[in-house]
Order: sequence, then structure tokens, then C-alpha cells
Amino acid sequence: MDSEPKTPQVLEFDIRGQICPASLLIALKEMNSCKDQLRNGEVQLVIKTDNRDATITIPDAVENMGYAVNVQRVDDYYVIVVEQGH
Amino acid sequence: MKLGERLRGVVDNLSGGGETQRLVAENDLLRERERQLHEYMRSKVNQLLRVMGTLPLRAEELDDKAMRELDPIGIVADSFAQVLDHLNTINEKMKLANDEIQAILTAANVGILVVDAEMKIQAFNPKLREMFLAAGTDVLGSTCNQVLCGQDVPPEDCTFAKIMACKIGLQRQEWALRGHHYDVAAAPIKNRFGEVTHVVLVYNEVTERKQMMENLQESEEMFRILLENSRDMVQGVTPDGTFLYVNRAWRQALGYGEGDIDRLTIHDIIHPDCKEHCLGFFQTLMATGKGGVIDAVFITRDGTTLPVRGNISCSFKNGKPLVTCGIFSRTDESGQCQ
Repeated sequence: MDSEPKTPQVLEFDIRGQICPASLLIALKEMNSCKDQLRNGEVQLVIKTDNRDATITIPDAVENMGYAVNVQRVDDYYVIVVEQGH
Repeated sequence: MKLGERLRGVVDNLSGGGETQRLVAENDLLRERERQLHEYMRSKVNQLLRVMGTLPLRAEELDDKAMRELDPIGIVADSFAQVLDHLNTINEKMKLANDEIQAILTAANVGILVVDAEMKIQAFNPKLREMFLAAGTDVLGSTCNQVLCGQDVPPEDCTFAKIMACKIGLQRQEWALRGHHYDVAAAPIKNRFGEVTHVVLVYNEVTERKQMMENLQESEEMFRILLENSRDMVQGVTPDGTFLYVNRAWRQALGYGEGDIDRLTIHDIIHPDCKEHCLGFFQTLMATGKGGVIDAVFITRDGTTLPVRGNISCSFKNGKPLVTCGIFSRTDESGQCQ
């Protein structure tokens, strides 16, 4: 019998004010620290940034690492959601 | 050594000045080593960041102490380990997909050819070799027009050229080559910029099918001539009573032109006194398939009665009546339905 998919725990990081490459390094550091939980879908990372470059560099890196990523603009900043890859 | 210098050395030793100089020199050396180490670290960090597709670290953004504490090399190394894991997973999936494609290509009963944008052959399956190529010939890298069409210049109606021009898949019916005929389906493969990098061409030989269709058409034409020139009245009627076919003798006897037939039904030409008998016969025929001889009375276009005798049969498809075929001739009897 298939088990119900669990709702992932959301870990939120606000890196507004940081610019690349620092914003990318911080995002990578957080992903590395919970890579196993990200990989099996237990955790979802939500990164808030106001650096436009980061909306390209972070998703590129995230996809290369095999995770799924979604970028949305909210007011005057961006929300990057990183979760288990498909 | 002169006496003065020796005395200065003794004084320095007594006051600790020599040790101080040594320590200062050692400290300068260590500072220089640390500077070189930070410079090396920063260059390696920047190299890794470039690979990650981002900007180099600026000294004002992250000083040497902060850089050591953040450990960007460790962060990027951990990320690279995940990138490599992901690539390994992708490679395994791609290998599986490649094996599947190879199996499909080998098993396919159609010829499959892959050419690049310069029309050079990149891959083909065993069936294509069987269809077009001599055993053992190496044609990879040769142009498609040379290998298949046997021409140095692509033909005017070249399917590859059409694909390159329109950039969408297309199908071509009955392409002829050296006495054989092929249905060709072609599709482009595009890169992320939408440029066509390869074209896949699929050849299905239809020579036998084309020959059979031609034979069938000839046969149909022969039967059409036979029926049209028959002195008997021939009709084909669908289960709903409309006429599928009537021959010239039928039209002449009943006074209708070819253009009238689509509007007629069997009910229009059967005499009212005969209708119950005839329709009953048709119902039995379509229900049981049992045909036979029938006497009936038709009504011509101008209202004249036309006593006929005919033989009717019914063809079926999937157990359902498809069409009743009747061949009638005039009788001299007074119009009794039997």
C-alpha cells in the first residue's frame, strides 16, 4: 500500500541585502547542511533575496545539483523555493 | 672579524637585539606566507565560483578572516559532490534511454536515418541498411543525397531540405527510388536555440501496397465496365435503403440520371402493392443473409410500372449487413410480387 506523501518541513532563509556571490554561497551552504532531507523530500528551502543576479545563479546551481526550483517575485523581492527533484 | 664587530655582537647578544631581529624576520616571512595562502585561496574560490556561474569574491565583500570562517571552498566542494551525484544519476538514465533507443532502432521494421544539419549521415538502423545500403559499406559521415539518392546534389524535392526550411515534421507519401516506393516521415531535432541540428528520416517501403492498390484499382475498373455494360439492372442498396450504386441499364430502365441517385431510396422505386413483400424480403435477407430470387414491380420516374425478376444477396461486415446487391431483369409477367 502506498503511503501518503508527507508535507515537507519549510526552512526559510532571508538573505535580502546580500549580493552575489555571497548570496549564492549562503544558499549553497544551507542546501549542503540539509541535503539528505532535501533529497528525500522532508525539507523545502525557501530563500528570500532582493538580488536579481541571485535569481539566476541560485536556480542554475540548484538544478545542476538535481533539485527542483521555482522563482517567484513577491513585492520588491524574490522567493526561491528549492525542493526534492522530480 | 675585526674587534669592533665582535664587540657589537657581544653587546647585541647581551641586550637580546639579535633574537628580536630573528623574530621580526620570521614574522615577516609568516605574514608573506599567509598573504600568499589567502591569495591562492581567493583565486581558487573565484575559479570555483566562475564554474558555478557567478561573480568572483570582492575583498571588500569578504575579508580574509571572514573568508576562512565561511569556507567557500568547502561549500562549493560539497555542492560539486551533489552535482556529480546528480550527473551520475542522469548518466545512468541516459544510458538506459540510449539502450532502449538502440533496441527500438534494431527491432524497427522501418528504415531509420539520422543526418546532421549538413546532411551527413550520423546513424542508421539495420533495416535502413537492408533497404538502401550494400552490406558492410561505411556511410557514416557521407551525405544523404550521395548514399540514398545517388546524386552529388540533393534533388529539388528533397525531404531533408524541406525540414530544414520549415523546421517542423512532415510526411511524404510514396517517394520513389530505383523502382521502389516509400512513405517517408521526417522530424527535426532542435537545440535550445530552436536551430535544427539533426533530422530523423523514417522510411517505410510501400512498393507492395502500391502495387496491390493499382491492381485493385484495375480490378475495380474492370468490374465497373462489366457492370456498366451489363443489360441487367444492377443495384447496391445500404441497410437504410439508399443506393450505393446503380448501373447504366438500371438508370435507363427507371429513367433516372446519375445525379438523381443520391436522392433516391429503395422506397421510391418499389410499387406500393409490392412494398410489403419486398421490404419483408430485405429484412429477412439482412437478418439471416439468406438471399434468393424475387419478383417485384418497380415504378419508373414517369410512374410506369416495371415488373422485374432478380437475384439479391447481402454482404456483411463484423456480423452487420453492409450492402445488398441485386441483379434484375424485366419480366413479361403482369407485375405479381412473389
